Amino acid sequence: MQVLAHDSVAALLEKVRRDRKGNLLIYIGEGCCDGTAPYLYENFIVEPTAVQAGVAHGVPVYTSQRLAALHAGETWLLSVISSVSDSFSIASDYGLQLVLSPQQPEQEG
Amino acid sequence: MSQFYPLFIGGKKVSARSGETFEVINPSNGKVCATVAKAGVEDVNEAIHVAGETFESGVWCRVPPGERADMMFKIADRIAKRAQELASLETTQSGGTLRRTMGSDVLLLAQQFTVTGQILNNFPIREELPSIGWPGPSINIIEREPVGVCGLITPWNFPMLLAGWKLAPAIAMGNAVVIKPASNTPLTTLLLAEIFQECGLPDGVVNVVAGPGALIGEAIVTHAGVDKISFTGSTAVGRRIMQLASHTVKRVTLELGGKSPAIVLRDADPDLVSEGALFATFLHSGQICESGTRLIVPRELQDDIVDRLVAKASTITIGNAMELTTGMGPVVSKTQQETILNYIQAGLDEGATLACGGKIPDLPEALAGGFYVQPTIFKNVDNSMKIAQEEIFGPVLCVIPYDTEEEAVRIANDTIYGLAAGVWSKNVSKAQNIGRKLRAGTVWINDWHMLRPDAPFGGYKQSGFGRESGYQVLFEYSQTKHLHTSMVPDVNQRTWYRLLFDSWATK
Repeated sequence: MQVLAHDSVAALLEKVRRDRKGNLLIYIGEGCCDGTAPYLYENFIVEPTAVQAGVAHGVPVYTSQRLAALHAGETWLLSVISSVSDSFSIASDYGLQLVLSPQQPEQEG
Repeated sequence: MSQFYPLFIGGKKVSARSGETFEVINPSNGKVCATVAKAGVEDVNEAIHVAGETFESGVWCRVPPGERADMMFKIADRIAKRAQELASLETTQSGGTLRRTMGSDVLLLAQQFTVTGQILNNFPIREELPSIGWPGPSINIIEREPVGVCGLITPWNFPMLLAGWKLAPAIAMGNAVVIKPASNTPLTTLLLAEIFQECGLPDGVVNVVAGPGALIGEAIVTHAGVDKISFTGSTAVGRRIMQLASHTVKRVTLELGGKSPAIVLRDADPDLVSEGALFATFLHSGQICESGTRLIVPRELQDDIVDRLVAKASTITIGNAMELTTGMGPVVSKTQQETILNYIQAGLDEGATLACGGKIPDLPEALAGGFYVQPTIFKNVDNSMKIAQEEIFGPVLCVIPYDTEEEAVRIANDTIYGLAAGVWSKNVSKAQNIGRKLRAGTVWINDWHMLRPDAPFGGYKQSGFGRESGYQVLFEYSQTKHLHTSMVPDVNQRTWYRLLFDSWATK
């Protein structure tokens, strides 16, 4: 599983870096009734078996070993949409939500 | 212009300090249905402060349990009186059909308070231990006390009912509460706070802060003035909450995701399965954490079962959640709709056979802005596929064939989740025995969604820990104190002090 990041993610991260001083990390989990993955967290401790699936404009993108295996060989594009969301993802503080969509590797990096 | 809903802090309806608001969208038509005050960290801190002051004042936590139980009954009565208003508002904000919110949710909500009151009346708030005489006579009392300030974070799928699941036991045990409803669906929780006030619950016991954002969620979970967190949502966020709550060693209850399996045994009633399996999956468009999304069927019966499921699914009326004729309404948001459609495509890509659905339904122009997905059934699903492993949270049923019952149990348990499971069979005792092998907090035999206020509900494995409902939930919202009173007045009779001192106190 490889995750690439759209430019819109860079704009979000730039704002977040101004407001938060901790280590940022994007975690791809599964959605549920609180919103939709992926999540942008500050100082989040990933599990020892977590797999790094990419780097989004300087922020590491992790997922679980299980999801990485399920999506092996796939490339996903991380982008940002406007949304009223919860899910503890820092993106929601800016009225935004990170979303993943299936992509071809050459689209953007 | 849409109605404005303020925050509810200390018994007062207040705007956010920032003056900011956010909009709530009706998923049935995609239009704004309300404007809500958008709480910031300052508002959250104020709510926690008020809750803490209220708790410390003893105005509620020192009320005798019997009187707190009476308050539960009063609230239940009031909910029943305002049932239509609650159900209508719940449908407007969440897309849950009026048929369900009126016919089930609001009744279950009232029942939750009634049953919690009944359980409280029989709950061992105070127990005296028998004397054991060693090392000397003493009175030993075990008391259950409230935890303090509880931070409750609820989801958008059943916002009213799940708020009740947390609020009823929290209040019953004498706690004060700061509740943050999901930003898509805060309206009925705000209305509930008003109902509590009408019933005479002291101001400051229940405080509602609405608004999107990580900051206010983090503020609740990390605040030193909050003693307990109860959260319903995804496993990833549950892990985030555990990490944040660990800084102040808060008690945590987590009700997380699911990918619940239902095993169909060879003797199962096909008519019962065809309706039951669809009820398990498609109620509320599959947006239920305990939905039965994996139907594990005998390989030789798969085609027949799927034919029946497809025929029955075609009879489900999709449409505006406010219409009583609607059986399946929209999903909650555009994002959720897209996520579901992406999963359906993933199922096709991995080689599962689409038996029906898979698209946005054709609906009248008036519903064009709504977020609808057809009831979708895949067959020939392998349990290793994404659609069988990941929680889609939409109307997608995966039919997975098996050859032996041992294999069926293995498939059922092959998931990181363990919220619910089920078995369909005419042989009840055999079904129950198989049910005992399933690693899930709730197992239904020949049924689904049968949650009761007096039965504990919660997860095994990564579906979380702690329980909602039942008498068990009262333990989640209380802590245990051992009150020991020595009945040995003479220091020289306290032989156990000689463990430290060489000589007797007086000679």
